[in-house]
Amino acid sequence: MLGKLRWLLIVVLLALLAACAPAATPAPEATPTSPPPEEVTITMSTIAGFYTDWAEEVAKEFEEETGWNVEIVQIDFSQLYEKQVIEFVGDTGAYDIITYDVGWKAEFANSGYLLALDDYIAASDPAEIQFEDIHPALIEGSCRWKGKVWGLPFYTFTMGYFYRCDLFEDPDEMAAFEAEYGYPLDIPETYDQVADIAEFFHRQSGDTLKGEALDEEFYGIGLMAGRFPHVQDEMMSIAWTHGNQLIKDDGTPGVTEPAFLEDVSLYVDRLVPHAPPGALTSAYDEVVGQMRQGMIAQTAAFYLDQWPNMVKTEDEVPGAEICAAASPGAHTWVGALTLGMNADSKHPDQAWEFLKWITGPEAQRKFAEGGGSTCRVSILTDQEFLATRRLAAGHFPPLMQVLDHEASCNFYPNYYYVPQGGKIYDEETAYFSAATSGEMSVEEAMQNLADAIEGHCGGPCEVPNDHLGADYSPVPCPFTFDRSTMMRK
Amino acid sequence: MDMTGKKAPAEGKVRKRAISDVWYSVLLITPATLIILFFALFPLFYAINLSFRHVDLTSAVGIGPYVGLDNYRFALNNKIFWESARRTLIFAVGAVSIELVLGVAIAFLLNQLRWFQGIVRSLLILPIASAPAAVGLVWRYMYHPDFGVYNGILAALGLPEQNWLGDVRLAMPSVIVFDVWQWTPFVALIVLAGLQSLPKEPFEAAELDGASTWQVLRRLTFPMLAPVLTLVFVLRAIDAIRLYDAILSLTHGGPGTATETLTYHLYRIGMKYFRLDHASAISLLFLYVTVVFTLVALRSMMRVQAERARRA
Amino acid sequence: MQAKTFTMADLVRYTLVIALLIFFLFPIYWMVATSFKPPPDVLTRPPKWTFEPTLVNYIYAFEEANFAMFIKNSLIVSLISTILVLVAGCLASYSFARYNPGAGHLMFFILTTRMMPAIAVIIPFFVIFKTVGGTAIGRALSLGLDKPGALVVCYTVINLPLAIWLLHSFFQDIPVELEDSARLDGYSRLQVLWRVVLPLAAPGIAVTAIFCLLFSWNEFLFAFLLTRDVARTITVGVAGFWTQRGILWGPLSAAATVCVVPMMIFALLLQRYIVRGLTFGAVRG
Repeated sequence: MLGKLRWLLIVVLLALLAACAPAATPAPEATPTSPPPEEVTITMSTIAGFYTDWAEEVAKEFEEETGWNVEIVQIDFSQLYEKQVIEFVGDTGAYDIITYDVGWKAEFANSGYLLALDDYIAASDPAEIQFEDIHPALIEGSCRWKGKVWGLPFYTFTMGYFYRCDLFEDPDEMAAFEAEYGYPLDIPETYDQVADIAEFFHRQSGDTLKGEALDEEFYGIGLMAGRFPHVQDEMMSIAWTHGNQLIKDDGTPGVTEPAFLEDVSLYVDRLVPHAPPGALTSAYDEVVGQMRQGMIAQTAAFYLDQWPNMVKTEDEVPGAEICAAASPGAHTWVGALTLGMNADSKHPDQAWEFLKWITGPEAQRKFAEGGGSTCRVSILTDQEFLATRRLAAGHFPPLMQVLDHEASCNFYPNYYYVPQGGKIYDEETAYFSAATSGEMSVEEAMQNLADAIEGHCGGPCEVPNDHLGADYSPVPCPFTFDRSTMMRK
Repeated sequence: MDMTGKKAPAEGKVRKRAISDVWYSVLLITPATLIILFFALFPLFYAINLSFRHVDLTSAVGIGPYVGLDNYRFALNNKIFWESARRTLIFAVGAVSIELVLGVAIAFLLNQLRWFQGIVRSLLILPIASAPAAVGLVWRYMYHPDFGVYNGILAALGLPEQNWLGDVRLAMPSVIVFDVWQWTPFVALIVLAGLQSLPKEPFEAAELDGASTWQVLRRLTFPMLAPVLTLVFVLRAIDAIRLYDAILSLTHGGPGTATETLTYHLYRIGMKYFRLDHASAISLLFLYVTVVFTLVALRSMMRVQAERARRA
Repeated sequence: MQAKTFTMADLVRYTLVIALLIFFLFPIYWMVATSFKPPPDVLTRPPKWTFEPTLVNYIYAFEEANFAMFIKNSLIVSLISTILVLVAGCLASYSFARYNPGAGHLMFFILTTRMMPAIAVIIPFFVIFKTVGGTAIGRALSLGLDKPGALVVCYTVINLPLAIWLLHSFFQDIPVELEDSARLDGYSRLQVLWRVVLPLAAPGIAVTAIFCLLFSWNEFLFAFLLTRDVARTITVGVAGFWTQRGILWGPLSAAATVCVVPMMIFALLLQRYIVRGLTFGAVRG
């Protein structure tokens, strides 16, 4: 009965949408509106464990609507790259829809693994896609390459900054901080300030925190410094804020520049010592775990989509409040998990229908309701939606600020366009981790990384970002965080 | 009447052979040989072929032109290759030597147990039976610096907690400890079996002669155990240098590259970079080394069987 | 018969034994214990030794993570490949033991086929199964990518050398005279094999079966790269508990327990032959 009711709702909603939409361009044969007679199975490969309930539900609705089958194949993120690439390389067409990360966009597009979506978008009913509703920063960063659109995003992990605002607003702590460092304790505007705060809040067992004695060590910062891709996300957020690129404009590696080395040294020498020892094997979940165990005062640049997990600290640590802001400079890893269409797909038209559906406004709203970080501006700025949803969507305001800043500044890292991005991502993982753990000195690790980058590119890397045009900013733009939008407890 | 109690056909008459013994023997080995030939030789030749070409599967090159020995030269000059080989050697030497010493000691200990020997032997098998990919993840959880039980035990005893998998100095030893946990029983049980199959007479004679324990061990026990010890050493060595699942589960080759062994490095080259040319060349070098080791294992196995046949 | 008294030396020995057992069995205990812990008790500082056992983790693994399917796949693949290995292996091994075709060289070559690192052969295997999977025979036998047939073939190939070597030592143990007398009784060679040799080699066949099952069940790399989701096996499934909330250690331990415990039971049942199996038949247990 419930199924029938839902079905009815969907039909009514679609009818309403159709009625409200502006006059659609005539659809050519590219997108058939009625299902073909034969049985079609659309297979989508995606990251395991990320809101898969929502994806299954959306798939089921789609199946009921169209009569086609949808198979969602879940792959652990650490294996997602190679599991998909082996299918590409083997020309199997096993996955009709694939998921790619920002770093892989250029590589997949360049190697011909994906179908450009521009024609599909142009031929579809705009109301179904509402392309302009997707934040331009995400379109540019995650979808565009060499002037074409290669995917539609469904889950943004754009980074911001989390901190224990109860600690930052404690009068005694504030006084002590200002006395020691000479400026007020507040959301850091530079990474030097992040380092100061980390040092300040690093307390031993027996010291006081917020007026109470600690029975265990308390750490100033949580870091994802383990051998996972996340260490590069944190590290590059520092570098990009300072205008230091992984790959310079001429295509040569920028990691051995003195300014870049300084950024890495800041991380290794001034942040790592104040993080829990577990940082050296940490991914994002460990940092959330540390916050929820009341072990850390702040994060570095951190995935804003982790807010629903992070905010649970307030239930688990007495007196704690978690605040989400933008990281210093707001130039971070801006991107989303994006769905693209496999060029080898045996039924691209049908796959396109599902891709549209799952990234479309309706499915995305459901996604956001469940705590997912959608890419759609209309939902991210829907005040009515936000008003009652601090626990699920408290990170939307800073997320919008970071995205708006990126779009208005038009500073997109060269790395996002390099066709060897996927390989370089893996090398970064190894060498940044080597630096943070002390296995190699910062200089040695970065030299190895530079060699590896040159090895993969076969010389200077190609950076096809001319489309950014005259507006393109070779340097980051100044940023001030607007705290009036923060959703407090 | 034969073994199954049925009446034999034409008892007493020698039947005419349908096909010769030689053909019969070849017929019997055909299914297995065919399977192995096709599925082992085809990939081997494929890999050999790729190792002489420029192969970059994710680029426009794909399977490219022949480049002679370039890939082998690249591998042998590549410092990253040598470093991962060095780490593999460190791991193998560390793990195998500990397993041998500990295993032999345990074997002697078990040999002297007067009660429950069978049960203890049975229980010691359990680590060997567990899939490294699965139980490695459990060990990663146990090694966790904040929530892991090993640090929990240390803390309860008042000892300093360690960053088992995050500290560059401890990561490889921690992996070695995992391997020792899993494979020492292997050594122990085999050496125990060897010990228990030794003939009693020489030992009784030595006791009558008044030889000390040390002399017995040195002159009698270890020389007689030598074939078994060699066999177990070679078997462990062959497996230790191919360690992969455990590294994947425990450390992903980290921190940095501290636990990136050759097979893990191979995985990166093959599955992250899809440079099948380098991967094939390195694999063939690796295969060569392993085959040489296997030859040694074979000779040890033959020697053990000959010993047994001699004593029987 | 002397009365066995418990001496000081015994005390020392058994203390050491207990310490050893704790060392070797503790991780297994912890894995099983964690699998029964309620989720909040899994990530605590200090670790919890006492807790209220719950089946929540197992339920999650079976319902959310589709574990029943992985177990089914592992069972199918392991059992079928073991049967194939035993059939082809017994025939070949018997032939090597009695007639030695190839004068040892062929047997040696068979042993070395295991030595190739998996990465180098995975792409050719991928290509083979992709191609074969598209043919009629391939579809009928389920030999394509992400089909159990592919893994069956892989594990058969991987385990055949072990089986041939292991069975070799068991066949050699059977006195030739028994076979000769049966032949004199008028049986054909095949009948001798079927009626006389195989029953006597039954323990060896059982041991070989256990080892083939063990290695197939525990294998990771081929299963990981040649399957997607339909044919995924249990060892690959254990690694799949990393969600947006982080690694779910409770369900992961449940999954690992399900993966590990069956093989442990097998090993316990046939511990008499473990040594023989581990040394490819060279050393008697």
